[in-house]
Amino acid sequence: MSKSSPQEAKCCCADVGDAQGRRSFCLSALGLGMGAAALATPIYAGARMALYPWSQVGLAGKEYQLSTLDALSETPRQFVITDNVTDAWSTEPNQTIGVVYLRKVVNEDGSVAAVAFQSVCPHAGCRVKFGSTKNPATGENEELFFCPCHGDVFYLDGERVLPEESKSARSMDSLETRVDESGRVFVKFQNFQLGTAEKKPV
Amino acid sequence: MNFVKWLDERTGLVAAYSKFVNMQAPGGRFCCRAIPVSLVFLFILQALTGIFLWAFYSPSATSAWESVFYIQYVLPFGWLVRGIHHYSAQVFVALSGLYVFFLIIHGAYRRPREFVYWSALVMFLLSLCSCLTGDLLPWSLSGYFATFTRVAFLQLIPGIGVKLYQLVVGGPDPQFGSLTLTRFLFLHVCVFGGGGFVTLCLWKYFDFRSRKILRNEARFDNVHKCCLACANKKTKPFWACDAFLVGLTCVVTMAIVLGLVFQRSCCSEKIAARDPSLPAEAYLGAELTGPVDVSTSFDAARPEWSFRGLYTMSKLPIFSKIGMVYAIFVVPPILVLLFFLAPIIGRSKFGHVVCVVATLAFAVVVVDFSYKSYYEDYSPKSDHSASFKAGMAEAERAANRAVELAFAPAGIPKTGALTLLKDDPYLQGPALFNQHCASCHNFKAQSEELRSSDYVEIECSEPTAPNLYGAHSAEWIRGFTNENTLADVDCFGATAFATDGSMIKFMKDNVFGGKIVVDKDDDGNDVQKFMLSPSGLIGKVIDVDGSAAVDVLESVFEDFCGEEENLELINTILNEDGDVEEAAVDQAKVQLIAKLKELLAAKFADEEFVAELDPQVPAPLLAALQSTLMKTLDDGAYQDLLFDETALESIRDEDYEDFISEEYLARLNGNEEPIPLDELQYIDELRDGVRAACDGVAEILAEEAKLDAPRPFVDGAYLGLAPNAISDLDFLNCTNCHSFYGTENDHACDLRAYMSRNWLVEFISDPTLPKFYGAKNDRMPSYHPAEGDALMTQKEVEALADWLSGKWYRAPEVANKTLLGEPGAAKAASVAQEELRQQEEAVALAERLELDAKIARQTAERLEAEAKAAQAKEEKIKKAEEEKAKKEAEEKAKLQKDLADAQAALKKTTEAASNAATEASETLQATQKERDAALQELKTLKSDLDKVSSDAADVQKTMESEKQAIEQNVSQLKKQIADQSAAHKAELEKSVADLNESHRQAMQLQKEAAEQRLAAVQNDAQTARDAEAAALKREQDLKTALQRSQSTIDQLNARIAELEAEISKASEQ
Ligand code: FES
Repeated sequence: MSKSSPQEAKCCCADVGDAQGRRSFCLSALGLGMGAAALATPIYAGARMALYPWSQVGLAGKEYQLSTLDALSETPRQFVITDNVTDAWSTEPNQTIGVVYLRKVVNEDGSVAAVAFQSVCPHAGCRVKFGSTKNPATGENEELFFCPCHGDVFYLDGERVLPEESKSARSMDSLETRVDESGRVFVKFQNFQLGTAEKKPV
Repeated sequence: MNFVKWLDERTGLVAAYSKFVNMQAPGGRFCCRAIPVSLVFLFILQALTGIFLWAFYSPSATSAWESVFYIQYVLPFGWLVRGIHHYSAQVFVALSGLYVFFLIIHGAYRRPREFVYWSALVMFLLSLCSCLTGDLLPWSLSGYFATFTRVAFLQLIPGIGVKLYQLVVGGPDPQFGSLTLTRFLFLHVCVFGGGGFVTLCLWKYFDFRSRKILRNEARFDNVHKCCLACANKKTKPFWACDAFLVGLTCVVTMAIVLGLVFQRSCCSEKIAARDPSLPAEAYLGAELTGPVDVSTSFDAARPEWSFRGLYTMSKLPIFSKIGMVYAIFVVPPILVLLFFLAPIIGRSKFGHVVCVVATLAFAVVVVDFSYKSYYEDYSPKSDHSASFKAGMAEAERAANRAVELAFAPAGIPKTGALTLLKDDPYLQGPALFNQHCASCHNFKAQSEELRSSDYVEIECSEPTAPNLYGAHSAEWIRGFTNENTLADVDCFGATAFATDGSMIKFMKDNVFGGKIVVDKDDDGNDVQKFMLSPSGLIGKVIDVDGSAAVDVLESVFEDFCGEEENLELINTILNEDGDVEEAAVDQAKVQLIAKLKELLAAKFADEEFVAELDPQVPAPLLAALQSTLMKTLDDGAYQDLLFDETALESIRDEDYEDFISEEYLARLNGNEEPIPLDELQYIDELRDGVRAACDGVAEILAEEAKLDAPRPFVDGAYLGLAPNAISDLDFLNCTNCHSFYGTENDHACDLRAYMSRNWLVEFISDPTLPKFYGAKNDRMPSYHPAEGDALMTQKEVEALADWLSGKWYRAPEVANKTLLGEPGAAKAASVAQEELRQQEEAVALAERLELDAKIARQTAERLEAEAKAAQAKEEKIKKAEEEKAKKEAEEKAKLQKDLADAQAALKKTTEAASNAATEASETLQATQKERDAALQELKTLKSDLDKVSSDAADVQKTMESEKQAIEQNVSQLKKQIADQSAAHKAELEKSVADLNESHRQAMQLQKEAAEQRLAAVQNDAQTARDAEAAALKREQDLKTALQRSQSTIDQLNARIAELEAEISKASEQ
């Protein structure tokens, strides 16, 4: 790295010629290395500290008991999911972490299942509503899911009414549900990446 | 190539690069530049780490400590960043100070380097200010108190002081707060940090200029030779030796800083001595004391090391005389001013000497003052060190606790970590105790074994109430159930009840004392009983156990005598045939008694056997009594027992006199005073037994202290209560005054859930409740009574109770015994512990629910039974009502019947009356008939009389004819007589006389009969006349009767009317 300077330096450890150049190089490299090493410690530590969020696990993916199968109807109902939320250093109990729709579905064989949807619109993240709205396919007013932001309409099973014309690239995000032997309904709460055709948890 | 040119043209980077590569270092020896290089490096370190910290720091009173906690404990290597920042600042202060010092000593402050010196001085001052402001930022106890005092001094400045202070603190109130933090952050980063950067640049620039001047004009003879030499040296390429030395300096500086960062974990001993509940980060980097709690007094509040000299100076007596303001705002500024003037003063040689000497003197003073300050704090010889160390320990306790709680599952609330500390019984308990309890109660370990690291000890100078250390433990309770310790200062000794409190009296006189009392037996006779207490403790003991012992003897004898071998011996002793030698008999006796003794001893030694004897009496006491019994029986007694069948009975009957020393009993006659215990035989055994029972009670109560609430009654028993608990407390007569399960009593404290957390909450809230001391409460205030003023909040009472009963969050152990520990260990451990706790809680909850269900079921059953009973009662009532209704109906019917009856009776009476009337008339008729009959009879009688008279005439006629016949006969006979013999004449005469006589008699009789008949007829006539009169009277009577009947009929008619009215009324009803 070092180049012999035009002015002849007379250092205590200086030498002449190639040997001097090599020596200077070595010394410089050593010095630079030491300086870098000295600075590397705080930089490494600081970077690790700053990048901490990457190594953290959020609340998403946790199961929450929301209702019992008996209490559900076939009309979707909104459920607010709460948990102890740790915000940096402080922990607040019973904070809202998300809203989901939950309904009961009676299968053809008569068995009953619980179906859950994220209330976050897969298009751009608005809160999807449920209520009377115009079905764009038929022009009739119907009880459907609809997004107030860009007007996407979804059937009760989460499918887009007009897949071709929808803003959203995919249907509403269903969530995994589980019903235990005593009929309690658990929902695995997750958030998904917005805007993609594929449903990818974040 | 074009790109390089393009880039160079626009940015000059290439040129800069080649300049960088060809960088020249100033000539001269490197050692003069080592400190400046180091300072620059340190500055870079601080800037770098400061920026990282800035990214996470939150300057507000409720989040500053929390965010620093987050940096220190949660973020990976946050402790390192913070440690480097903190210690590099300290090193910077030290080095910049040293640098200024060396500049003066070396004379390098003089021209042309004045500005170099001044900028270095400014840098030093800025670094001090930076430390001062940075110290507060974590909002930790130590930083807060150190800064607070120093900033508060601003108010001392006359005139503008208060305004200045408000400006710095950021509010009108003299309290530090969020605004202070934002201000200090601004000052720390922008003013002092930024100012430092500018000064650093200027300093470098001035240094560069000074060299230039020195090199160009060698006319500064006052310049230190070294500097001149340096300046005269030609520059040399940096990228050689210099680069190496600079690198080395950086590394060395960094090493020093890291050394400081790891100073608290520098050796394996220190690592091994870490508090197991704290993560390793607590021992790495800069210390973080607890969050600011303005209410605490932080006795160890001291300034940073760099201000220690000033601190000592400000404490010099002179300043307390002339005013603190001089120490802070006059002397130091003057000194600073003098330092600033140094280059001017030092122009002359003399001036330089003055400067050097003054600086040296100043350095000595600073070092000395600082040393003194540390000496005072740390030397065991100094007076303040104890309080300083205590303050440090207290602060450390709070700091450690804050960390433990912050890692607890609940985490730090939005209101900040201080809330955690404020709600924490472990920290608040001692403070509350100190404030509210320690004026009467001691809180210090009664003995070394009882000392626990969990508790701080609180000393009361003049205790007048029990020592509450370990108040929930069996050991503590035992102090109160032992007659020897009860009056100790740790128990009731210091209280108003020390000598004549009920409990002390009871224990001394009753439980462990003894006297003879006269009691009544079942028949009302006086019985002398030996009792440990008037309430009958020993009486109970002797009675119960004596009889138990006799039972044992009986059963043992039966078996014993049944054995063949023994039977033989017995036969030998009895010697029925009289052919056994006396010696053999004696020997057999001895043998037999020995065997019996052995057997009994074995029996009584068998704890199980003893325990089964009498479940009412605690086993140890029973055992003691059995052995007492054993001792009372001498060989003679055994013999009696063996061969005299009544002996056993006599033991039973004689009130067990044998079990108490006879001599003793004799002495007792007429002596009512309690007997000194030592004079009692066997009393030691008895007392040991009682003491064991007392200890048992302490254990039972210690179990109560662990409860949440008094035990519920399930399945016919108190849940989890030791089976002997109730009987043991009863046995010791505890329940005479105290409430316990199944006994309600308000003479003394309730012993259900005694000393448990909830019991304490209620007790502290209001000890005057009847279930506690009631009216007997000594001086203890009601801290949170249901009515009236509260001295503590509910929360405080709860915290105190939690603390006293040892119920607070306990942090799990953390893997921290390696240098860096395990990252995230604290959180993981607390999460694991929480999971475990939740599981346990779930189990407990399930158990509780089950129990609740059971209780509910039992309650339901009870209610059902009650309902049934109620129903039965209702039915009964209904039945009764029905019966009543029935009765009423019956009554009504009866009334009706009565009416009917009355009517019938009336009818009958009427009939009877008419009958009677008829009858009367009939009778009248009959009577008339009778009269007629009587008249007829009279007539008949008259005719009869006539007939009788005619008959009588007939009879006279007949008699005359017969007389004639007889006279004829007589004459005939006279003739015959005359004819016949004279002898017959007398006979004849006699016969004639007889005949005459009989004739006369017959006549007489006939006359009488006729007369009688006449009288009878006359009588009959009279009777008939009477009958007639009677009949007339009867007729009269009947007439009146008829009248009366008529009136009765009238009355009955009236009654009928009445009854009818009544019926109509009844039916209306
Ligand atoms: S956000 Fe829902 S449609 Fe755009």
